Amino acid sequence: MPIIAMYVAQVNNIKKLTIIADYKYISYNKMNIFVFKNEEVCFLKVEFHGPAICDFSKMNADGTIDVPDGTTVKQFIKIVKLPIAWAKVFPFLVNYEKVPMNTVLKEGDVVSAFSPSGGG
Amino acid sequence: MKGYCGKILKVDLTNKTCTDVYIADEIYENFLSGAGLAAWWCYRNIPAGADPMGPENVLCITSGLLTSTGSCITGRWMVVTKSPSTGGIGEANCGGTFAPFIKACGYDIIAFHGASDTPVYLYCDDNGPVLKDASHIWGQDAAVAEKMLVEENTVPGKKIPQACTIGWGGENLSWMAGVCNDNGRIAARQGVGGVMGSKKLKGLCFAGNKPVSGENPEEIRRLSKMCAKRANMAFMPPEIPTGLLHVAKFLPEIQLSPDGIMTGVLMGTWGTGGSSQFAGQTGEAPVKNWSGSQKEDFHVRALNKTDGSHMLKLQTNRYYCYSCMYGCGGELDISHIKHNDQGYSRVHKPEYESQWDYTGFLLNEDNDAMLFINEYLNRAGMDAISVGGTVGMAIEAYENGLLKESDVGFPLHWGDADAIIRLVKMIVHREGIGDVLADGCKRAVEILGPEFAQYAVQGGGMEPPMHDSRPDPQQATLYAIDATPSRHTTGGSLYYGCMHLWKKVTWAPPAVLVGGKQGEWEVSDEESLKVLAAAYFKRIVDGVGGCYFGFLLGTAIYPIFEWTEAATGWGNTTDDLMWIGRRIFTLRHMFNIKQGLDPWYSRPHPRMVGEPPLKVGKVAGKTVPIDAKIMSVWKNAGFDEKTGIPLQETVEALNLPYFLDGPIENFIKEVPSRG
Repeated sequence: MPIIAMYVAQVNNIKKLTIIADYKYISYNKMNIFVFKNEEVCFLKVEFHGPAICDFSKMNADGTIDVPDGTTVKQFIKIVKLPIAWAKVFPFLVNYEKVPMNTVLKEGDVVSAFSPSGGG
Repeated sequence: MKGYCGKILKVDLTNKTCTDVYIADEIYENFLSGAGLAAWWCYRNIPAGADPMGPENVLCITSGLLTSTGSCITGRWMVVTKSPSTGGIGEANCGGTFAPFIKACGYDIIAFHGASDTPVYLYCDDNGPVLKDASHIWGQDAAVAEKMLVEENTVPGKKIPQACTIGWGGENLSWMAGVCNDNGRIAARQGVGGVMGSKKLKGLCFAGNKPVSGENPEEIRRLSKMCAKRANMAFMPPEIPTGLLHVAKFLPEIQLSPDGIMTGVLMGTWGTGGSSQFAGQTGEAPVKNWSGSQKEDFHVRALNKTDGSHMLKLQTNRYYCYSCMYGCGGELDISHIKHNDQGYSRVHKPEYESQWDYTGFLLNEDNDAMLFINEYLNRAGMDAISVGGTVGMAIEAYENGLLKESDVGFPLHWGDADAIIRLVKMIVHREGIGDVLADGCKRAVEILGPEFAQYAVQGGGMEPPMHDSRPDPQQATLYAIDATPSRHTTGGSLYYGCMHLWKKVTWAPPAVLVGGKQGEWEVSDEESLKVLAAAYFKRIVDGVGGCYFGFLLGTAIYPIFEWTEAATGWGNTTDDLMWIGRRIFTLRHMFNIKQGLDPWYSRPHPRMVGEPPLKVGKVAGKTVPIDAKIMSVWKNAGFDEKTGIPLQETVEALNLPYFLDGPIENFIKEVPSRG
């Protein structure tokens, strides 16, 4: 079955994409490619605050990252390249709540990962 | 009730009288309560040119509008006066447990006018205020004095009083003295304790029971539940080894907008001192009196020996200020540490400022020495930041031959814990060279000579805190333009990123979130508006009694605007409240100008802005264009860009002539107090 992969690099707004492909979004692989199945896909804006070790190359100026509808927390962690151990050891919250890793993110969610900072 | 009591207690220490001063609602509507109301009172009552250590000065002790209404993390109390260190409006801020007791006596502010000829303290309960003799307490340290005041005023079966006191520092009229509460929480800065000592006022002891509420208590409660629930989500077990903070040295230098909620992780787990290793490695913490770097001067091994996590091993319990769920404080058992010739046992955990000031800042690797000095200064009632900065000046002057062993009495070198302890004690008791140093490094230069000025790192007469302004232009600018200079609790780019003010304030620019650190050195209206947004917001927070760590949570979690509206019902938008913040900000500058200060007086010492820049370390090569930054902020604040004097149209737009120039009788009504 042919697979057509969409390279997501310049998405700034919510878009609907019709892809003719056999696999739905299941991974965000090393080539930074989302892989989709044959269905319409929306992108959501999720606000993210995280430590400097994350990949912020896809962050918009307003602090949001566009992710496909259906992205789980675990998949999001891979998108921003946060080590999974960091998310498990340090506090990691969605809308200021602890949630399971298979929680599906929604438009406007706030994802917060622990960032050490000085002060006091 | 709209959160505030509507009354100031005016205590005339010269004539030993107490007066209830009823304040018009429109004053609260335009200046809030707390430090805003106190700034208005000080402007109206302290004449131009008043000697800060003389009877014409007024000392205000105040809590905030939201204190005791049911809001969270709003239990700060403040001391506002004319500062001897700066010559302008002096303000110090403290947590602890005293704030609700001020309002429970039915007053928003206790204002001390004149000066007593003998030591006194003020007692107040539901029967009213009364001045009592304090000669038997005079000479005691702040903690012992507090204990004595509480014991002699405790009535079995009735509410146990709370007290605040000055220690030896205030009695010795040091310009680095503060006012203490709860055995070591301290309103430390600006010499407010010295002013209190000049009035022979040893302390206050309160035991009132008057209820306090806001206009909409259910809404306040709902907001508090949301805040508490969210803030408690960011918990981390203390067993997570702090070695993980070593990652700091691998982090690229990018400034992001951290989620403020995560500041609670460090605070609740280790207290403010837990971030010292991170601060040392990232260049946030100044080293060797602002002349060195962690890389060259304070090796990682030394950082590990003095990291804040060591304090956790001595911690017996956490400490919570009134209305706070963080518990960033703690109590330690230091009975077995070295240097403890005073027999201290249970003490407050040092904050980051003390923790770094007496380790990395002075290149001291002896953690026990830092623990002892912190408690000694708490007992003395003295500002650890200013004392540390002044000791730094003295050590550097000694190392460079300007001070001799005959001047000091013993050798004085970087990292010599015994010498540092000895010098701190001399400063507290004004012995030998300590008498010269006891009023801070700017005053010391006036006595010792201008050649010492290069080592006297201060801005506007205040030694800066342990937050290096060279990698943070926003903080450097705030050190310069706030009417109480060199103060880190107004903001900085990291803190602005945590506050998320742009989500609630229409004109506040968003923090640059990715890779935008370079833009902070630009001089632009956008950068200036960020500085002003932080400065105006701080005025609101200090008017309602909020805590710096509360607003670092971010406006989504710490709903200070919404709480204020729920308490008062004034119908203000967020922008309306920020306009009040702007009014208070401008008033404080007008106070300084009235007292004869040139607004440029608070330009930071060259080292604070990288003139010249360091050659090594995380802040190497960094210089802040501070003059241009200051002028840009003044322009955006509606002040004259070159002189820093508020423009007439700004003053009139803020309606300040009406509140400052008209007869004060338009706004107050005086009635002799009961008691």
